[in-house]
Amino acid sequence: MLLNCGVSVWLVQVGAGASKKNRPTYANANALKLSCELLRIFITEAVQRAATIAEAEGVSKIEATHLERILPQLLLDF
Amino acid sequence: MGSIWDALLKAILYSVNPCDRREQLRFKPSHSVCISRSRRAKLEHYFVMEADGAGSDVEREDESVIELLRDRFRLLTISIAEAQAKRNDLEISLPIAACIADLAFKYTEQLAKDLELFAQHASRKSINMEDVILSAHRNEHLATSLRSFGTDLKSKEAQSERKRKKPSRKEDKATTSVVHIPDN
Repeated sequence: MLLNCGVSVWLVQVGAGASKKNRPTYANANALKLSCELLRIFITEAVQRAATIAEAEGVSKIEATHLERILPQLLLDF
Repeated sequence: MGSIWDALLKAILYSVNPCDRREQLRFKPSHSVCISRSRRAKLEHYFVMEADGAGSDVEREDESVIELLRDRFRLLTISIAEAQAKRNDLEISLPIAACIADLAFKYTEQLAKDLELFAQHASRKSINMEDVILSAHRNEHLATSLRSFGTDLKSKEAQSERKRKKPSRKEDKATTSVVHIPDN
């Protein structure tokens, strides 16, 4: 995967829940890329695990029943 | 996949990137969320002054921005899910993909909160790579793959830094050799 980012620090304002008013939290560029990778792995894992169950059943379409069977383990892993 | 990547970078963690900063960042977004400066200022204002219970119109602006981000996020995750399903020669029904997208959005909110708490606990103001790797501690394989990805990123950055510095060093050497011409 090619990344065209040449900056060392990318200031990003992270969201709500700040305990102190004068402390907006920033995020590093590499930390952002890593969390993107984490989310991509999350979605990939969800689809992949549901796909294995669907294939085992012999169905060609991923349905809600497949998703709900993988959901507990997925949430425990992440 | 590359465009998905940089669009995800924009949508994640409530990041709002105003158009004028694009040149400074030297980042080439293909689908960029161009939110105006006033909206961004209101969003930041809302998050910083959260304890006050800011005015209702600011909250409504904030809600619309969150909805925008949620829609873009949904679009991107659905495309990732479709691509993944195609790799297994299977189809994924649209409501299921939307379910996964909403699940990922909620996971992102929790992840952002966790990362902020980790950084605050380490008495830092910025979130580090280590924070992200720490948040994936529940699964060993996940942690190791993230760690290797992180080291790859760091090595790529070091390489690009070295490439940028090389031409300047060559110019220095050239000037010094010119200076040392002996005159008779």
